[in-house]
Amino acid sequence: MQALYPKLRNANLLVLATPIYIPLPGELQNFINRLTPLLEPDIKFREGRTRAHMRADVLIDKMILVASGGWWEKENFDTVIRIVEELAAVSSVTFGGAIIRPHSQRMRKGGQLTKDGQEVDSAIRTAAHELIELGDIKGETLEAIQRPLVSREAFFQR
Amino acid sequence: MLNVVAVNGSPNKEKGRTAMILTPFLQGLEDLGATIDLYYAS
Repeated sequence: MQALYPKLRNANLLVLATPIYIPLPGELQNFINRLTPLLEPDIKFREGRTRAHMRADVLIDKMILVASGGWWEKENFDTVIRIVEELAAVSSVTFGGAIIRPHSQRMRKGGQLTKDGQEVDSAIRTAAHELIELGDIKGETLEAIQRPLVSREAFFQR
Repeated sequence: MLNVVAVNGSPNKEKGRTAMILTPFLQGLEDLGATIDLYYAS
C-alpha cells in the first residue's frame, strides 16, 4: 500500500472494480479505508453534510465503479454504488458513473464471450472512449452494459 | 493525458468476471492514450 500512495496522488481517475458480495470483499473495504491519508483533515460543512477533500498534492478528481455480479437484477448493485458515491462525495471528487454487469456469467460460454458478451464488451469500450472524449459516459451506454441477457424467468428455470 | 489507477478487489484477480468487465474498460481508456496502473486488493 505504501508504494501505491505516489501512484494514487498522480492519478486523475480512480477506478474501483469489485465483485458484488454483501456488499464488498473485505480487501477492497480495507483499500478504501486506507485512502484516508490522501484526504485533508480540514473538514467542511457543505450542503447539509460534513465533507473532506483531497490534499493539494492529490490529482484524483473522479472515481468510477466497475462491478460484476452473479444475480439477475441490477438492484443487487445498489449498495456498492452507494458506497462509491459516498466515497466520492466525502472526498469532494466527481462520481463518474457505475459500470455494472448483473448475471455476468451469461457473458461467457466455454470460456469464450458469447455474442451478447461481445456486445457488452464493446459497450464497455465505448464507455471508456466517451469518458475521455466527452468527459462523461452516456446513460444509454451504461444501460447497454447492464441490460438483461436473459429474462428473469429463464434465469431461474435452469 | 489521463493517469488512471485501477484497483480490482476480486480474489479471482485476472481470471474473474470482475476482470472480464474491467479489462475492456481499461483497454478503452488506453486506446485514447491513458496511462493505467492496475492493482489487486487481495
